[in-house]
Amino acid sequence: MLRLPQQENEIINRSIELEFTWNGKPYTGYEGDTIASALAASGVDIFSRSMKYHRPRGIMTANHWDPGLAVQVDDEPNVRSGSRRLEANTTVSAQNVWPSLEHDLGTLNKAVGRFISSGFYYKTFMRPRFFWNHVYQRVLRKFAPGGKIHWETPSTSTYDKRYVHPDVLVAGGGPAGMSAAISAANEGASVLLVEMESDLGGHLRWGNTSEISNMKSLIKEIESNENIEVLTDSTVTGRYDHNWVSVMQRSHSIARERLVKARVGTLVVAPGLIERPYIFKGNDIPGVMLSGAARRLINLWAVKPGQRAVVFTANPEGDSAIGDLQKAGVEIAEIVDARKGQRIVAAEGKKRVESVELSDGRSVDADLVVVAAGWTAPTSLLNMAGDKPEYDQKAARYFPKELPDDVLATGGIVGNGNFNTICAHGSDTGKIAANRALKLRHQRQTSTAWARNPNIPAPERIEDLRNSLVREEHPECYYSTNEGFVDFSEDVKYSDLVQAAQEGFDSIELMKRYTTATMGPAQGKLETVNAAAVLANSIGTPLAEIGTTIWRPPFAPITLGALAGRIFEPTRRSALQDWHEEHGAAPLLAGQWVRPDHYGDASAEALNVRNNVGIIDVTPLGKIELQGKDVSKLLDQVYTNRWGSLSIGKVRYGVMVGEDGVISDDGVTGRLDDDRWLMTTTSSGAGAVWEKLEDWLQNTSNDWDVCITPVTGGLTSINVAGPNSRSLLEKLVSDVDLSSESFPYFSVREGTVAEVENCVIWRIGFTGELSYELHIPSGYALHVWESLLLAGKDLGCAPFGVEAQRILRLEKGHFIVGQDTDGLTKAPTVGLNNLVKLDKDDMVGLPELADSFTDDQLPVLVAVQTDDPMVVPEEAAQILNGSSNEILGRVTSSRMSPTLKRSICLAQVAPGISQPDSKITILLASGERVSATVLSGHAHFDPSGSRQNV
Amino acid sequence: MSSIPFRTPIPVEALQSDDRPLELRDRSTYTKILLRERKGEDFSGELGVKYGESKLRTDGTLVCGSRPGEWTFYNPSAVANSLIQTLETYGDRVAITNLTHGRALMSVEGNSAGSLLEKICNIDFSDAMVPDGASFSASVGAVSCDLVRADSDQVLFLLSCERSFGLYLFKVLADAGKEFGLIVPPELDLH
Repeated sequence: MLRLPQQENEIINRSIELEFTWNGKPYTGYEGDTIASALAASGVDIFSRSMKYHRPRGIMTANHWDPGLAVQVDDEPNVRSGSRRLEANTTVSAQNVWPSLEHDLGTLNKAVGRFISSGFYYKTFMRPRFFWNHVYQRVLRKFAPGGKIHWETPSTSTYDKRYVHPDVLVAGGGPAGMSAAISAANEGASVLLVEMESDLGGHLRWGNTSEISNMKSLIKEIESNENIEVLTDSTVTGRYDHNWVSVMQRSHSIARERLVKARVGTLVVAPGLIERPYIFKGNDIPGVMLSGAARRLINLWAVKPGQRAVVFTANPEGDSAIGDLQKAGVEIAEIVDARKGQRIVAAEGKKRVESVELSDGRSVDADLVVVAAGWTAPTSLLNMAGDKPEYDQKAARYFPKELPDDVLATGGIVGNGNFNTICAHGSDTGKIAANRALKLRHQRQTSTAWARNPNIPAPERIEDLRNSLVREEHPECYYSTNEGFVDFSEDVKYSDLVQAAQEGFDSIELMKRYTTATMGPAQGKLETVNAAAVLANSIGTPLAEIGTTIWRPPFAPITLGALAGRIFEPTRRSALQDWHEEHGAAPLLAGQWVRPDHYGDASAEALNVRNNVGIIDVTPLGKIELQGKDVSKLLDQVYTNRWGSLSIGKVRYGVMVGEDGVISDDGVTGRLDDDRWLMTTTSSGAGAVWEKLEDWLQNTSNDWDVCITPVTGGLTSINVAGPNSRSLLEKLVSDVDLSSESFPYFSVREGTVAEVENCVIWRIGFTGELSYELHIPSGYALHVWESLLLAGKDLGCAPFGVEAQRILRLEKGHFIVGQDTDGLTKAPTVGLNNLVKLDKDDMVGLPELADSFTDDQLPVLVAVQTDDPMVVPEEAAQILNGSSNEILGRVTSSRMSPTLKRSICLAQVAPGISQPDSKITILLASGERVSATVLSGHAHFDPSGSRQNV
Repeated sequence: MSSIPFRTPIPVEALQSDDRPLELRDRSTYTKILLRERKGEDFSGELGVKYGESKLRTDGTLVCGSRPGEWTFYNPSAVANSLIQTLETYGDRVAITNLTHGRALMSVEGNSAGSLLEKICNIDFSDAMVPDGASFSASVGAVSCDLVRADSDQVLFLLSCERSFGLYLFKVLADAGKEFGLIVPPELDLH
């Protein structure tokens, strides 16, 4: 057990023990522990095996970036145990090891190590080509790293999303970031402060008493400031155009991860610095860790990282680590000071460091190597804002160069300083950030109709006169020998990079892709600068001229669940849908609408319409109210026929085409009054038609007097169809004469149905029967529906669903736009010659329509019946030329007709076989060919219309 | 017709939080009238409400400048006919549509109402950008909505959407409200 006695600033709660299992064995930790700290406190050295060579890996950074700490937690793979807080009763296990973490057969890979150097994929798996799909892929998948997704059990993780609009977003909750947040908030800006670790404070958290005291003061100030919202355990993952910033919030009370989409006035980047590893032989052996890791383990979680240490230090932070190690009772075997030219050459040991070889030739026994070799500036967010950081050789790190006006940087990323100078820089940065953001907010308030008028002038711009932070000198410590790992996530060695350079991949971007260095889970945070340094050395170029790879979003890996977030799938329900479901209707999702497909027997429902009367909920039918003096002019433009002569109370059918002349929608429109019309559209086309009408009005004829209002959901539509439909309605409609003389086919009236006023009654139909369509104010729709059923009891009234309606309309030969037409279908194909008025001055698609009537090769929509009446071809079945495979068309709709007791179809066919009595061949999905005959006209049933025109 | 029950698309009157004051309430029975100025007319001065604003009249009608040249009138009582008659005095200068049956209407009330909405709507709900009286349109949970901030004792947002989306939107709001303590019965669970 390596748990230390209570440390002054530890963050574990020793009064709450948490039990968990690691590779099947029981362990305990404390509340506040990470998974890794709890395991380390229990003496665990090896947490994972490396990707390629399956080398044992332990703690290196003890935070989110640690490449050796990915574990499986319950059903969640690839959990970063260096930052994930320990939870009770979790099952934690190592990933991609067999048979066990301790004895992993994957280590055999090292025997073939020289064959799997950089680029081996490209060289090895080229030939024979046949093997790629059938052998290589299958074998390689077995070696894929990472955890397992349990497909058989649903995920218990939940994800969420949130939008925020802070004036200032500060990325990084260290001293500079906290100071920036406080000063920005004090200037009146709303501030979102985002910290990747579980607590604010940055490096102060594991600092000395004075640093801790300073940190607590800043935190207290933040907590008392209402303008600041703090997100800890959260990462700013991307900065996009116009300061759209994505934040991944982890461990929220209601969700495992939450994607926060922030529209930010000013972004302040204050991420501090990331400690980078040092390249030497054996630099990945468990027991080699960075100074920050050792300090965190000791000070935050009271874990003793080893017994006897060699410390390699190039900076004051490394020196501080020595003090912490001594405080924790770790024996300091050797201090290797890089500033004096001293180096570590190698670490030796199998599963834990046993000895260390120094540059003076000595070998020192130790189980711990603590490395403080320097810093990487995490400039990702600045790169995303267009910056190209420059390398400063004296400071041995990169610095920002040029930032846009709405992005500022502060803290370690721009220079060095003591607590006071860092905080002063942060504070100045916060003031400037607030000034720019509040100016933008003022602009937004004055330009947004619903915002509060600020009634004060915009703030004067404050010029950026911040004192620059100094760039302290630091030795360039990247490697001591040409051995060791550069990228621990991808198992890329120094020698791999040299080989890549020798093979011609001598630019950093090419080398990255060839070797996969910087492409692993750490995404370059630990290895980018080292990789660039090795490349520079390999090709004899100064590091400053090498550049870095481009850092793109996300800054840290994001789960797909978090990206998906809260899933919105809007569904629409008519006012009658509850009734349908209560009465056994099978739900059908048609676009966004939930509809009743059938109530148990669609054929019986269809027959009842033919013999008695049926009612169907057709609310999804698009309905658009048009008001104004110029409605008929608009209709003339968007429909192919004429509308000016339509009198009040009459209805006309219309077809719309696009600018390409292709049929886009159809429906009937009735004139209710001089200036008031009601248009119907297809269910799926309602939104598009509305847009089309508005588009025409706003962009082409904006002086026309037309007001357009979609009213689809407000008017519940009920189709009453069947020979008894008039008798049924006569029982419920009191103020409209329903006789055929007063109310003939294609008429519309406004009236009262079952005591509900303001209903629209249409004499139209889609089933071939005498029928009416009622548009009822939706709040009263259920009353009307139930009244119809009650009043129609003795008339055989029953509901029918969408499937019965499809059967009935196919029997009658009515085509459906989108079903029997497609993205190429023009008016002549479906026989609409009389509905296209080419002599109009203008209308949408006029030239293309005119052209289509000169094209004698367009397909023709025809009614088709198979010679064997029991064979129902599948919709979309191909129509072939006899026994050949020449395609001459396709079946667009097909059903077994309960009325005719035979199969019926509509089909689009080549003009040569479109004449009545033409014999055609249909290829079924089974491969069988069946013969069929083309009918005259589209109707299979009652072609003369004797049943509907009564 | 007054004896015929008006049915809203939402099966419950309201949902509340257990410990914090937050309420999601169905107000779909409200009278809702849409008024639009016809071509060439300018009505904003006449109504005293500009686009983006709203004003509560003494008769309890909330007049909202929903879009340029377009106003929505909300009233808690069933006064559609009388309200339309009043508006018809403007004659041919306006187009009037009764949306009482065509729009679902609901409210989110409580100090966390803005926080609830920002989970599902990409609008800046700060007091400066959306003050009391603000009237605007936005996508809420992927549904096109009209919103009005009409504070009572607490922050209150009215949301209206096409009626057929009403139940879905109510469920989306309820789901977002769970974080703030809203108690949601299983039959109204979104997932």
